[in-house]
Order: sequence, then C-alpha cells, then structure tokens
Amino acid sequence: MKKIIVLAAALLLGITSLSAQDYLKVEIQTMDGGKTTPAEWVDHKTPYVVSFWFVTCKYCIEEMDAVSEVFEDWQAERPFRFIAVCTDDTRSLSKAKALARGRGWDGFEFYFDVNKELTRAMKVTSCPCVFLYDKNGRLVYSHLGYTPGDEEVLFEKIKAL
Amino acid sequence: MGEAQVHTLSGSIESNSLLDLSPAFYSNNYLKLDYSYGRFSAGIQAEYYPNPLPGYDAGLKGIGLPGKYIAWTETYWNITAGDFYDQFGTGIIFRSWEDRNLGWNNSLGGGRVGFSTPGDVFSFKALGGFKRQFPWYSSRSLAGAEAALRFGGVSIEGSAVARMGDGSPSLWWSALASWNTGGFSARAEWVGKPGGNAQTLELGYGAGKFSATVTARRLQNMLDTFGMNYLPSLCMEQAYMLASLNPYTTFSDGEFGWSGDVYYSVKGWKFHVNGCWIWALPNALRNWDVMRMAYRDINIQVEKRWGRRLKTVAFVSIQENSPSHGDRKATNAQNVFVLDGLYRFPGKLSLRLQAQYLYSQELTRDWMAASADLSSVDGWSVHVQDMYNHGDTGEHYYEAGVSYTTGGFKADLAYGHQRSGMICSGGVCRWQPEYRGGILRLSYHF
Repeated sequence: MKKIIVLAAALLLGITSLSAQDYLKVEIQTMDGGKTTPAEWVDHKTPYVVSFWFVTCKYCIEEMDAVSEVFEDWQAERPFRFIAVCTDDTRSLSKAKALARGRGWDGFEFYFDVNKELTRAMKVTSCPCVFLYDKNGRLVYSHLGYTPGDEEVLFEKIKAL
Repeated sequence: MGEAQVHTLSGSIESNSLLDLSPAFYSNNYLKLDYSYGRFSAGIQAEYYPNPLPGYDAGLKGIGLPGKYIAWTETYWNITAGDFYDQFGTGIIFRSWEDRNLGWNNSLGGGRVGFSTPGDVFSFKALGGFKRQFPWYSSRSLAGAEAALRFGGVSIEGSAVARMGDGSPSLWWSALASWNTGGFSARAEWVGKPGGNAQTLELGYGAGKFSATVTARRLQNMLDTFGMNYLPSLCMEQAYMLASLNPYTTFSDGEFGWSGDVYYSVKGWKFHVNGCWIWALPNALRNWDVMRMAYRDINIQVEKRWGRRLKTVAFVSIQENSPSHGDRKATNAQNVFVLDGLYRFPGKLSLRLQAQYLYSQELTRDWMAASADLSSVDGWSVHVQDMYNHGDTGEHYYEAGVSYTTGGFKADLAYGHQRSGMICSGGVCRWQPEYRGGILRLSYHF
C-alpha cells in the first residue's frame, strides 16, 4: 500500500513538475483587437512574466506601477518580457487600454482575457497574480497578492534563471 | 509545433467558509483539474456547498460535477464537448461565464466548433447547449453562431443566437465593427431581439501619457429571462468602501447613458477623471414622456509619489442616484472623500492607511470609515477596518484579519461584522457577503 502511495505521489509530482501548459492554446485579445494565443510568448530567448490585473484592482495597479518605475533599469541588467493580462470584461476594455497608457506603463505587453478563458486555464483565483516562465515557457515561480518589495523578489528570481 | 508532447496536469482548490454567530456554518468549495496531452485536453470542476455562503443561490446546496469537458485543438480549428464558457460581441447578445465572488456561473453543457483562416482574417464559431442549473442542467437551451472578418485594424463581426425552452424560440442577432489605428480606437455594436434592441459606441484616444475614452449605450427592453446575456453598469466600478455603498445597476427596461475617462501622468503625479450620466428612456417609465435622470457621478483621483517610500491618493466621488430609475423625482445624493496612503518601511514591511467620509442628507446620511493594513514581503499581512454610520443607524461594520501567501497558496482568516461589498486585504481584492462572525478563505493553484 505504502509503495502505491509513493508511486502515485511520484507520478503526480512528475506530471505537475512539467508545469501546466494547456493555457498555451487559449485565445486572447491583443491591444489592437486582434486574436492570439500565449504560445506566441515562448520565443526560446527571453524569460517572461505574466501578470493578471483588472481596472479596479488597487494592488494590481500598485504592482504594475512598481515594476514600471524600474523596468528600464532592469531591462539593462537582465532582459525579460512583462506581459499584462487584463481580466476585465468587455465593458472595461477601452478603460483598461486608456488606463495602461495614461499610467505610463511603457514596455509592457498587453493582452485582454475578456471572458476569463486564460484566467481559468491558468487557475487564477484572485488578482494580482504573477507567473514567471523561463525562456522555454516552463513555470518557475508564481505569486498571489502584492506587497511593496514583491517586485524585487520577482526580479531576483528572473536574475537566477 | 515541433516539440515533444508531454502530459500536463494543472489544478486549483478554493474554499471559502463562514462561521456566523447566529450560529450557522456556510462553505463554498471548488476543485478544478485540467489535463492536456498534445492537442487533446480534458477537465473537470467539482463543487461542494454543505451550506452556500449568504448571498449565494440556496439551490447550490450539495455536491456536484457541473464542469466536465473534452477538447481537441488544431492550429486552425477546434472542437469542445461538455461544459464551456463563451461570449459573442460585447456579451449583450450572449455571454456565459463564471464569477465565484458573485456566485455566478451560467456555463453551457453541449458542444462547440470553431475554425479560422491563417492570419485569423476570417473566423467562425458555432455552439449549442443547455444552461447550467447546479448540479445538472436546466431545460433551457441555446444555439448560436458567430462569424468575424479582420483586415488591417478593422474588424467586423456578426452573430445570431436562438434561445429555446420558454415557448417558441427567441432569435437574437448582433453586428459589431471596430477600428484601431495609431492611438485612436472605435467600436460600435447593434443588438436586436424580439421587442428590444441595444446600441453601444466606444471611442478611445491616447498620446504619450494622456488617454481618454468615452462609451455611450442605449438599451430598450433587453432583459434576458434566460440569464445568458451581459448588461453591466456603464458607470465606474468603485473600489473604495464608502464610494461603493450604493452602486448603480443597469435598467434593462430602457436607458441611455454615457461614461467617460481621462488619464494623465506627469513627474510622479497620476490623474484620473471619470464621469457617468444615465437617463431612463421615456417608454420604460410609467409616468413620463421625456428621458429622466437615473444616475450620475463624477470621480476625481489624484495620486502622488513622494520619493521611494511614500505614495498618497486623494479621491472624490460625487454621486446622485434615482432609486426609481427616474420614475419619481426624489434622488439620493452623496459625496465621498478619501485619503489613502502607502508607506514602505526600510526592510520588508509596508503600511497602508485609508480615511473615508461620506456626506449625504438622504438614506442613512453620513458615514465614516478607516482602515490599516500592515504587510510583509514574507507573505504575512494583518488588517483592521471600521465603517461607521454616524448619520442615522449608529451601526459599525468592522473587520480584523490576518493572511498568509506563499507561491500559489493563500490563506485568509478574519473576524468582523461585514457589510456586503468589495474588500481588499493582503494585496488581493474580492467580493465578500455580509456576515457577523469568522471567515476562512483558502486557495491554492498548481
């Protein structure tokens, strides 16, 4: 019995350690209204951060502001892509686009998950929620919520890749 | 794709429980698992409600497997059988989605096929199924199709949906066009149904760190007895406690309104101005042959970063609401003032402080509120807050809690007398029902 449990645990860990990649097929909207899938993010050259946010999520905006303020300096030190996935419905779509520009989030890549297909596929239960993937699209770190300083922990993880 | 196919499994567990002092125990629990191998995927969502949380549908009581699907995804076509979510256009004609914080889930159980041409110049989708009614399905079914054509920055979409189960089928249709070029964007949609119609126009413009957007919408008899369409309020969703006490909800019998936003940042300052004005249409009201004001608000937010450690926010919201949607002259006016600060100490700790005041001569008159939230990069957070109606009832709505987050795991334990509304704690915002007691929220994803 003990052997079976150990085997089952090893199998489960073996599967999950490959990291969930079913999200790569999900269709999402681009900034100009076109469609794409997260498979486009894997370029085998650059690690990428996926950050889920919505317009009235105060802590999401705090986190994106914090990353934005140091983004240029960090890019010089260790290049990475910052992919912001907005989980707002279609009502807030134009507002989200305006907010992103008006807050000066230069250098970020914006996508819109208007019916939360990607949010469900990546098992995001609350925002802000950040995932870090290596250049081959393998999940190496995730974090829920935001406290000032979390962005520095994230950058340490990026530098360690 | 040229890559080795691997078995992948991902999942999430979420549990929200309340021990009410009445006494009563409530709990909502969700388990979601998804498996994928190459182009094949399958998944389940199990739900368990020994006693659903207050504010949730009492019919949810019990255990069920309301989510289960298998899907095959090729580069240019895909097929799904089982329970799924989808949306046509802006969702006014059809939207099925899940929002656990609201207790909303109107998934469809049936089938869906979709295909697109290279470059996504043309795409087509057809679907049909029965509406979810926990733990199984209702007798109401829906079938529909959507086609889209995209070239340059222009997109044209058309869709049709038939609702069946309440007498003869009801046929809805919609047409949508959008255009994006440089910093300018525009989107227009027209939706028709038997005896009703809706029009939406959105315009957006951005240059440098300035941006503006305006949306206008007219609805006439757009209530969907199936609960399969999406009619959100056009006005700003308020994040501060007192500003969200009396939110506006869409008057689906008939309304016309607009909402506009302007954002601008310069040298550590960030500005946001929002305005919204809604009128009830005369033929949706009993006693009037002209449009009557149903709701209006103006919101102004100014943020300033003072060096690396301190950020402050000043927010004002001026609101006027007609509870009868314009049918009677009486309105409720309220002005909300907020001061909000975030200070980062040297090391791991940060402190958030908020002070709020609501001035009103109607309803329960004046309110005040304050909150403090001390959080650490280690994942720990403690918070206290109180919302006090000193203008009428003398009631306090208070909460104190502690939360811990690490990786994909979050635990949140709180005690208090909570008025229903949006609350943020430990860096995460979610909807909470009214309670007097202790609440435990757990979530984990992998």
